[in-house]
Amino acid sequence: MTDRPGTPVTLVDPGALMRIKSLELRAKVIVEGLWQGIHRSPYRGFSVEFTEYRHYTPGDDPRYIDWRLYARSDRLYIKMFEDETNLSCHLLLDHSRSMSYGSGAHTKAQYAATLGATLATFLFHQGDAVGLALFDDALRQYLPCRNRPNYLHRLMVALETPPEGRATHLGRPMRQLAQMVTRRGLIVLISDLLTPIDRLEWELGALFARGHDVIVFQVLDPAELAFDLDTSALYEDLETGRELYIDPATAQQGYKERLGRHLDQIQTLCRGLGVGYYLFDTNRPFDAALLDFMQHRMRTRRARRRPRRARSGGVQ
Amino acid sequence: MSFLFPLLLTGGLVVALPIVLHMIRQRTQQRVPFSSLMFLRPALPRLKHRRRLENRFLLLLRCLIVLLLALAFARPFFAKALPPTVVRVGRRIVLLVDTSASMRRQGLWEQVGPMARSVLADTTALDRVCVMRFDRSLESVLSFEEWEGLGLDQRVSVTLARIADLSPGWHDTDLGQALVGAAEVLEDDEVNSAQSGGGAGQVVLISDLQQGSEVQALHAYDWPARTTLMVKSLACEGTTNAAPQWVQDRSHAVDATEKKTLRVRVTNAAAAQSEQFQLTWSGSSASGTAVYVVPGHSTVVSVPNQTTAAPINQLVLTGDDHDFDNTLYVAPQVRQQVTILYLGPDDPNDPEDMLYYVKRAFGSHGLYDFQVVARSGHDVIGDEDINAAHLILVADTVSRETLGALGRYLAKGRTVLLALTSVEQAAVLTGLTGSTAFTVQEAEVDDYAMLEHLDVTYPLLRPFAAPQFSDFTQVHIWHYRRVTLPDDAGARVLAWFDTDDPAWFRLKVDQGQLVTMSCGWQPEDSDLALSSKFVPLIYSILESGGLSIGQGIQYYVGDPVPLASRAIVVHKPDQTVVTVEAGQSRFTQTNQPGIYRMESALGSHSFAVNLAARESNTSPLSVDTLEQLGVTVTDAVAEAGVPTEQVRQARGWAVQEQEQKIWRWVLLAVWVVLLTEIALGAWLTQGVPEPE
Repeated sequence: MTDRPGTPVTLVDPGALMRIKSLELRAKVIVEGLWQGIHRSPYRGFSVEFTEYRHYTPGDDPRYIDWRLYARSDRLYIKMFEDETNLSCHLLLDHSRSMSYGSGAHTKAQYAATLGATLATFLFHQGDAVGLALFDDALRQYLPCRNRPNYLHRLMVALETPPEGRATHLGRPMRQLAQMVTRRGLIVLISDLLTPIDRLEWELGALFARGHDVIVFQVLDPAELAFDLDTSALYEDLETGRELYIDPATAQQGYKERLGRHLDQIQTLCRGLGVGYYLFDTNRPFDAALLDFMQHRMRTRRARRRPRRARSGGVQ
Repeated sequence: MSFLFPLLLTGGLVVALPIVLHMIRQRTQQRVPFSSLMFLRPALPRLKHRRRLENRFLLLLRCLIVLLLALAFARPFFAKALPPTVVRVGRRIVLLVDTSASMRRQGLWEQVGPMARSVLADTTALDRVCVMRFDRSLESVLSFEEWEGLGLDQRVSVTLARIADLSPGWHDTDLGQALVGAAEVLEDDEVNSAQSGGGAGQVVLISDLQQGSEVQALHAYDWPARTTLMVKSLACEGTTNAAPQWVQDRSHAVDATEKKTLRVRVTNAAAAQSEQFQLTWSGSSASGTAVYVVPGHSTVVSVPNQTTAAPINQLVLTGDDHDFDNTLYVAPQVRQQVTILYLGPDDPNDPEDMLYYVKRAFGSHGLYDFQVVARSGHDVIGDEDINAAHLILVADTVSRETLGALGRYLAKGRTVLLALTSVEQAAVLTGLTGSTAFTVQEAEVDDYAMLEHLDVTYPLLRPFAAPQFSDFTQVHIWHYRRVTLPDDAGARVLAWFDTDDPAWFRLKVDQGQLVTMSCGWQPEDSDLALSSKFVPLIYSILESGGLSIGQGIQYYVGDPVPLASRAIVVHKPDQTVVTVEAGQSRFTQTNQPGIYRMESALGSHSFAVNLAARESNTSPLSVDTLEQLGVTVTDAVAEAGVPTEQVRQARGWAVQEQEQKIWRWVLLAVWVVLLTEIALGAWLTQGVPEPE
């Protein structure tokens, strides 16, 4: 399996998806839509690495039967990919009030919740355990990694709660999560990261050092990125309540410069740590997020498997 | 339309402010939620040309308010042609002449006439002059109106004649009050006269300007900016001036007539050239007392008391240059015999009787020889004994003859104190007043009664008017007589019991007064005699009879002398006689130093009047002192003001604007527009849809 910028998958407009009221259903639509798109491609499976074989059991998808091996061994074997191993994935979702901002039809919180739900659905159906941690300046709700019947529904219910946090602090939730999660796994941070990031590098590095695979999805509203508002008024901070009189026309340039520096810092520190970093505005299709997620997983496993390839003894 | 203050119209430029506020106001009111302000910095609003003006009528009202306010402050008026009035431009001068005692120094008063003549010689036909003289008080000699009423050729001569009629008195100098009064006269003249463009006013002071002058009044006075003071200071030869003052011993413990020496303070002027003086009793052959006083200091010496033996009452100081204050008048201190007649059966040595306390209340006194004569009310007491008494205390029933003598005593305007120790004494009350309507009964007292509702406005109780003396709650009354006062008795109740019965009351009997107490002061009836109120009360009753206790024997020129509200005759040092009617509380004609003798039905009394000590301080007062007190002092004669046409026009317009008062209507318009703006703004706010 090689990853290649292959045939593009049809991406659904988030605005259209957001009309689906049920978060669970919305995520399901996204994932199934992506599956269909992937399966239409000439490349079987998805961009994950093949790891090993296992005996065919009735009910397995016959598309993954290695016919060459059958020709050699006269036995049916199914290719196993890394995703089919037991993965624990924690979704670390920003639940502060800054996420409730939205200049369009949906807010960042709704987008982030949908993103999280999509990832959870995808992973759940892959047989991976998914957990959820909601935070603002501390962990507010924690659901451990599970892959049990109806657990996905519990995750959806938690994802649907509106954000109420009056502040955002990245370090403390990450430390708390690191103390609770002892098993190596995947941690997906979904946040707008509109907070001082002076400790972020340390905290992310600590997670990475514990063996966790970390992906950062930064979700921002298009108005936050471009600051193309035209209303001179008192602008109120949704988290702190502080008010400032702002004339967007005069404040735009400075805002974009400072925001740009902030985003650059985040990107630089994530890259330096080997943490996946993806910037999303709330108009970006969720499928693209899922594809980015899968690509990251693929790259990460490839990077980790290089020492293991040297020890592999062949196929069982 | 014209404006009194056209420059204030520029305040209308502030009208730009509501326009700016109006354009940003709506935006400012909007609140936009945003995720985080961490990348935003506050910025002032920027107006864009393409922003539209909304609510133009509201903006117009706001601009109109600003413009109307600017208009009101500019004080608009409709200018009319000014009448061609003749504006007087003459000067206004107050000639202030010092007639205090210090002007008696040799050679001073003779300079006043020529000095006044020199001032008046500079006056023109348009000038107005007022002449005033002052010492302790200020008095007009020639008013502005009188000056204007004189013919042009008469003004100077009449004024000089009026000044020539003046002479220095014996009073001390209140220069401050005089200058304040003169300045106010100028101000009043400026307001009342037809002058509307005249020159500034000027006070010309002709005085010896001594340091002993009182200038306190200038401290609190805001000297008018347009009034100047020109000082024509008079100087005399000889700078040595000393004066004696009697240091009176106010202790009454020692018989004043037994004092062998008198203590005299001698003060020497700071500019004195001599230090040796002599004190000699006028008319005495005894040698005088030498006194040495350093210039600018004083010393106290003892001189032999010559006043008691012979009518020698002038102590004269010699050795200085000026003798106007060299004579010290000392009134002889005579110990007066005061007789208190007590009618009652009491034992003077028995503390249970009232007489015991009366004798102790009228004990030894330095100035009075009190004699308390105790007789029984049933004894035969002749008129001689009755009339010799300064006060009669009746504490028992009396015989018919005694009652008649008391009636005659009261007819002479004397005072009788009746203490009702028994109901039988009602006969005394009835007998003296002639009224049978009085009823006297023994009151039933529950535990004890107290005094309340004292009439401290009555002279007899005036010593108790002060709050610290008016508390009689410590006086307990165990027995008293309830007296029913008839309405036609003319009784004045001076104090009530807390049982609403009269305690003390006063009845006018013929020319005299009958003061009645409804209880005695012996311990059986009350503890009044044991309280601190008894002695001042009994002395006050004695004084109400015409005797002045503690009458002073030394005063200064101009000081009022308290009287005992009785008719008296005063013999002044210049042999004039002044009759003071009864009811007058003070004698004020102490306008010359010397020995005064006061005679009344109760006897005669002498007192001395001397110059005020500070009048002897003849060292020159610096003009700088007056300047430091805010007085504008100048050496130049006040210039006749010649107002320019602009000034005349400005003043005329000011008068016109004051008459028209258009600014009031403009302010009314402001109010109307403001109320309209408020109402319109409120109505528009209700109808404004929420921004998308």
